Amino acid sequence: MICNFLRTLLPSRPLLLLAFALMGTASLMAQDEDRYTATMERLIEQLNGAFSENSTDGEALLQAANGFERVAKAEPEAWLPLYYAAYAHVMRSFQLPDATAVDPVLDKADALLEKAEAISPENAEILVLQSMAASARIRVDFNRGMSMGPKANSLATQATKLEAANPRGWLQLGQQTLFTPEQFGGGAARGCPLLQKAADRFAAFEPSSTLHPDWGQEYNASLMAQYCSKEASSDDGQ
Amino acid sequence: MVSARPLLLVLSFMGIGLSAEGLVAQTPISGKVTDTKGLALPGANVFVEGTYDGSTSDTAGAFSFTAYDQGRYPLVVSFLGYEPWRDTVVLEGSPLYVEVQLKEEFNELNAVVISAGAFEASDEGKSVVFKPLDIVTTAGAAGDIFGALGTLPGAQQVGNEEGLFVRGGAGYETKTIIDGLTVQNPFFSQVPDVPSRGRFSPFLFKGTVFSSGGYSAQYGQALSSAIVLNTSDFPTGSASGLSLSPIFAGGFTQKVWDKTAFSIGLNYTNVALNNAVIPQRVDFTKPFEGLGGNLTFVQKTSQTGLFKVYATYNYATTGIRFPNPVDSLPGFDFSLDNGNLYVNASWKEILGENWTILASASVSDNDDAILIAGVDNSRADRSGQGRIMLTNQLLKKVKLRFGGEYNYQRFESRFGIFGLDQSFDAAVNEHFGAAFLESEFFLSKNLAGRLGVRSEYSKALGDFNLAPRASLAYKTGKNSQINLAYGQFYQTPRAQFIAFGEADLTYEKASHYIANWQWLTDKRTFRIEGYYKPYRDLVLQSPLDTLTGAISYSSDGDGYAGGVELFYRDKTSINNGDFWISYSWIDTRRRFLDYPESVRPDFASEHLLSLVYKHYIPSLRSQLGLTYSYQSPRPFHDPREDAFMTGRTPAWNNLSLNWSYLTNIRGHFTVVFASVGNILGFDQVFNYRFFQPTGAPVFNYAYNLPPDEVIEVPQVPPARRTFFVGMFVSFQHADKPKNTAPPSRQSQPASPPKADAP
Repeated sequence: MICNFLRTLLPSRPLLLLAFALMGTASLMAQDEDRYTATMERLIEQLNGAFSENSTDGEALLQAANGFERVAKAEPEAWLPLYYAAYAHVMRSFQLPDATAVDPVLDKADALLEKAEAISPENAEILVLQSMAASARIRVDFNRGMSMGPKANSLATQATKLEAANPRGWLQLGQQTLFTPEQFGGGAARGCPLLQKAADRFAAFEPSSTLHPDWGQEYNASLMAQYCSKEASSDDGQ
Repeated sequence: MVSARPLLLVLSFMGIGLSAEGLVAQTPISGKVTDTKGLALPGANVFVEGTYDGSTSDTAGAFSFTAYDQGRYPLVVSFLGYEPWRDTVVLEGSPLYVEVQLKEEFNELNAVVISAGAFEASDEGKSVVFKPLDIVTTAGAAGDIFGALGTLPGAQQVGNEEGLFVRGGAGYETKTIIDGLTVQNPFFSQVPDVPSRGRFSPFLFKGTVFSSGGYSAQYGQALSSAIVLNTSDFPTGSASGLSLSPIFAGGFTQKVWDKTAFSIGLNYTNVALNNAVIPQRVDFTKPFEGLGGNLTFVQKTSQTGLFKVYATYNYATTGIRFPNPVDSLPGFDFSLDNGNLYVNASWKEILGENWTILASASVSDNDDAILIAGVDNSRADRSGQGRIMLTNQLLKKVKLRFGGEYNYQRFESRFGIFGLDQSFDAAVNEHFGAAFLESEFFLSKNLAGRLGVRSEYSKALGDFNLAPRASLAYKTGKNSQINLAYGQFYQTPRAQFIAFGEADLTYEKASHYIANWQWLTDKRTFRIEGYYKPYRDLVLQSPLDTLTGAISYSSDGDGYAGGVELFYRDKTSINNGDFWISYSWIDTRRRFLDYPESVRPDFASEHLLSLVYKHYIPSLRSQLGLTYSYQSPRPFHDPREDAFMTGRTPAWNNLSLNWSYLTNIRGHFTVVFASVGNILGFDQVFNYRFFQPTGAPVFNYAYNLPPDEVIEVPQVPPARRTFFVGMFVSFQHADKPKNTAPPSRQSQPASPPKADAP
């Protein structure tokens, strides 16, 4: 099932809410910081759990996205709430059974990412999501492959150039290439080396904080297991 | 990065508290979110703005959460596709219950679309029935835009005459418009009995709108139909391509920089090999040979501005010998050398919040050197056009467009006289100006209208015209709508009539009344459309004055066309298959040109049927296409009969097949393409020519000639079946997929993660 698959995209995290409740002596600003951190961690936890919810139109992901959007509204200087809200929307778009409902959700994700980008320009993590949103639009109409495919590819390439050590840039470039038909410069033979690069970087990756993006390692491994073993090296990536 | 928060809140969280009230100020908020019809809206985001507190409505639309802040705050309810709701609430500990009705947000994505008379092919537009690739992959069209549009309802291709014939209108009543400007010569110059193709590659355009009537006030000078083509914007990447076939070789290269893109292409066509291998029924003294080149230049003039230039030059030559119907007499030769230059430049920019400008200009120069039996009948036309259009979106539901255009045309023609070593020249200079104003507005999400008016001035006619246009669209259900359209359409008589002087001519006129109902989902479309189109002031030729040999022209012709059309497209019922069916019934009569009375014109079939089928075979990486078309018998004048235009050609049948195979050669994307036209070998007759026993042609519209004094020669296509094979190779410069030429289904880079993944 798709949900089981999506669940692998986020690593699980410990619940840190209790720790927050025990704090009491730091400055007021620090208290606010902590509340922000605690709320974000709770929401990331919720987002995590949302992938395993077996809902037909991604309600759990929508709930998580709503939570992040509330924080984003209250914290206009923070890019991470916008990032996670967009991430939840992009992932939700894959769960929507009705392809005609996909575009408005991705429009929303793109708008959030645009705001995030204004706060944090030249951010590889944001470029990765923008690339994923472009890929996701192809699902609505495969004819879009001709315009959205190159767009997704170029955004992911930009991410890898900006931050060569970030594994998610390579993961997105790798899966984009993997699922592009061989005739158009894709396929397993071209995609798998990129996924391997992602795997190498995941092994060494340390997120800047508990709130920074840290997803994709298991998904990358599952892609490689399915498409990059020797038997699976022929192009069945359709 | 954290905004200031109310002191009370923070303190209450810290468990310190300034007062007892501060400690207990937790406000439970609950309620329900519905739409204006009272239906529950699950998934709405309900929150106290500026705080983290909020919740998402459940499947019953219900929500509940606790607000930890105290004081006056905005409570906001937002949901995708609906207008956000907000109200100030006082948080002081006592529970709040709110019922919220959200109003559906108005946007053009969910609103009704005006579509009477129009079929659009584009990637992004909604309610779009066609994709640009549909044009390329339609069997029988051989990659020609007009060929593909010919499979749509209301459109008819008549093999021996140039143009697309729409709803009982002649070919010249259809105009092709690129980036707002009318194209003077959209077709390769017509050679008798040889179907002509469009000059422009479908890959140049990102969007095509085929209007079979009732089109916008932005355009004019077409009595029946406008084909609106919009050139592609900034290309995605550098690339080169090579096309090869036994009759064609071409290549292009495209370089893309940060803000600039440039491409150059060259092609050479020579059908000698084709004519040598495939038996031709026409004696080509010079098989078609052509050399062409084109340039494109695209510059981003700002974040939002784009300047585009497209220039093309093509030289083509061909010669035919028509046999004399009397075997002992020599045939006569026809030869055509054509040079065609076309340059189009446009600039569009967003000016401030609500204004958009589109400015365009074009130059066209077409020379046809024509020799008929050694007599010079050359012609040339040149034109220069400029146009500016401003669009204003001051209000969300009202769009205003206005603009003007100026067009200079010069038409030169040489009329050689058979048997005399004599010819005379005629020339027309035309200055033409137009202004238009149009408003598109939504009265509600379900009701949209477009009102426009256009005024034109023709110097050659010395006359103004005023053309009102109106369209209305009403959504009758989630997927269905009705459309109504009315319009007045004017067209200046063609230059050759004005060239004859003594012009007391006025604009030819047509009125369009159109009503349709359509049902549209993303997989299936059904449309039924009816129309009535009266014509007035068509150019009418006087009978030949046998004493002076003079003919004159007046604007005394008239006519009408009316009909019903059906269209059904289905992309889902057949696995990997996609088809559309068009049917048109046309009732029409007209008295125009040299017609002595009002009859069904010789180009208009009563019934037209097209069936287009495309099938993708994943295991073979192939797409197969099949197009069947039927045109019921067309009228012709038979000089053996006693009445005008009573002859009927046989019905026209055609079945074409094509096959494209996608592969790669040394890693370069490659399409191998093969097609066969009229694969079943139907007998196809365009029309008939009649000759006297002496070999001289029968004068037009003779009557009651004894059958043994008439030699009938059918006009038929040059070959019974046509064949084409070719290949296209694309070379990518960057490591990104190229955006050229793949048929639809194969182009699916990056599907989402598969549902059966672990």
